[in-house]
Amino acid sequence: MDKIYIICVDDQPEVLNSVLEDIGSLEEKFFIEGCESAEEAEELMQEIDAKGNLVGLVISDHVMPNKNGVEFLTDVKESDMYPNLKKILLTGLATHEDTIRAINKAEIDYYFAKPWEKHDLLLKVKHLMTAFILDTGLDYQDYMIYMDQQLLYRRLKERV
Amino acid sequence: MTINGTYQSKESLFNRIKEQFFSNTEVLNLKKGDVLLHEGKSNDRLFLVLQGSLKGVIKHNDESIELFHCEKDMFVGVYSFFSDSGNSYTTVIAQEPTKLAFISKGQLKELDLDLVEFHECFLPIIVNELHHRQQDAQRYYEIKEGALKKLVVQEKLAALGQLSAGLAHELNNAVAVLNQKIESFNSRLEVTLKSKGDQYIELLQKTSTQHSFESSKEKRQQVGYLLKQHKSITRPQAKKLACILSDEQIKDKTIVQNTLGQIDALFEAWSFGRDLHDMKVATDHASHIISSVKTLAAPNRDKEMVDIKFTILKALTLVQHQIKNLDLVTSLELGLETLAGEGDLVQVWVNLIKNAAEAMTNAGTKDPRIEVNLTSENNQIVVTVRDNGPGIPQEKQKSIFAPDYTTKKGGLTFGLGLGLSIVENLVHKYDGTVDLSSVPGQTNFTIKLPINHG
Repeated sequence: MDKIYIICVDDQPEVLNSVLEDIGSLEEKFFIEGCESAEEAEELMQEIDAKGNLVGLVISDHVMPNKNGVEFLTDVKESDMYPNLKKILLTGLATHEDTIRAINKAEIDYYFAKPWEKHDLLLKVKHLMTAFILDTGLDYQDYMIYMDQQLLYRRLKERV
Repeated sequence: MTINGTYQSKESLFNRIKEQFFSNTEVLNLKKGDVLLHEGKSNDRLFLVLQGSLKGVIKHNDESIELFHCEKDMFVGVYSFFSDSGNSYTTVIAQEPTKLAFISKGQLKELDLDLVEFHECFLPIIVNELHHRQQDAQRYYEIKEGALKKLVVQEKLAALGQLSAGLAHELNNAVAVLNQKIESFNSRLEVTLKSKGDQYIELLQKTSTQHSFESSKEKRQQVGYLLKQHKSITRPQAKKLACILSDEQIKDKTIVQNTLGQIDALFEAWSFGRDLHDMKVATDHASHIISSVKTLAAPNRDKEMVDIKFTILKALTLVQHQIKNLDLVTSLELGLETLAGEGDLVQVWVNLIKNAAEAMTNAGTKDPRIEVNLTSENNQIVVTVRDNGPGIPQEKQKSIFAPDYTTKKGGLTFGLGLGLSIVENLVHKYDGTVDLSSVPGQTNFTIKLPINHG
């Protein structure tokens, strides 16, 4: 079974803790890691990649010192290292232009405004992880309990 | 009788008219407040002011509006004398003891003048009079416009003050409730955990009052270490151990093994503590922001001795979101005091720092950096705010202090949209000065304030 990582990035430890805890129930099947900066996340993602493991999803804050979330996600997108990677921008403050850039350049899959609802976040994460597993061609049966059943059903029907 | 000369310069024409028509006429003396002409009443005299001054007013909605004023060597009654209606359109009042020479329509007839020639001769005078009144009107308009603008700014500030005060009050109530509940939750948890053993209480207390936790990176290293040292430990277990145990304890194999037995319960206690800690951090942060906003918008700005350093620190808290992505370097001397409204000064720094940050963000400045220095020089407090942004073009360096000047093109900004004009007003209010020097790559705002020795 492949090791699939979910990376959460937020410079505020308290907020990072909250995100990690909200999706903590997925930890039995996925590897969940928290990072306090974009740089730390990039380093970690390279390590994961070097070991032959996969990064399935990145959940990033936007307003952070040095490299902000949109820049980080754009760099990740443009590196072409993580072809099926899903991206969530989770932020309390993004300007109109930042948001446009996030969609057009970083090609984010979802935008969450802070404060978020645990239930919604968890649903979205499951949905995007299902899409990642199917896009990458992994054996979805290993992850059955965390799958977005509707999406799975639809995609399987398309295949037939 | 004819009028001598055809075209003449304004001065000589005036002198000629004065000599020919007003040298041997009757003279009228007015006291201050005497009314020469009444609005809407007929007038058949043309007056020349020999001494003193008068003003022309009209009544509008029970208010007197001043339309023009006349001094020595100017004519009064021009409109009524030359127009068809023959009525004065203003009430003309002497503003001081005033002496006038006049000529009436009747006298004019007696002189047996060619009226057309007479009117032509007076034409430059009439035009001049009209132009003069037009200028007056323009001046009044500008004064009024300026007053209106000031009023709008004041109203904006007052509205913001009220809004923030109300908001701060409401938020403080909410935060106070949260604070109280966190405390009570904390003590109740301690009671509950007591039955489980001292280890649990210690863990809860330690975590909930901790000042800093391991960074995400350090934690990852600890997890890696535990997994390497203990083959039987699962990854989720290692993560929990990294939370519960200290750096030294993690290296002790016996402690690690003993902890494993009750790992879930201990982790639960640790999580409670961590959550309580995070909640306290969040409410502290909220109260701090609220108090800063309150200072900023405080409606009564009493002067007091303020330490400049603290006002700068407050301002930095308020703008922390805007300066998150840039390098901030501060060198702030403690103990420099001046007599001022604290909120006013905070507002000055907020505006300067915000402006610098926004200018650099908009220009996409590479390695953006803001330096804030506080020091003293020649018995004056000197604060400089320096950035390495695009700079302000020479031709704009004056206009940036105007109330409606802005470089911002929309986007999300928390501000009054008054920026530098407010900075200048506030600094002047405390007998200070604002200086600007700017070239691409370095912009300096220097504020000087008097030092007050308490």
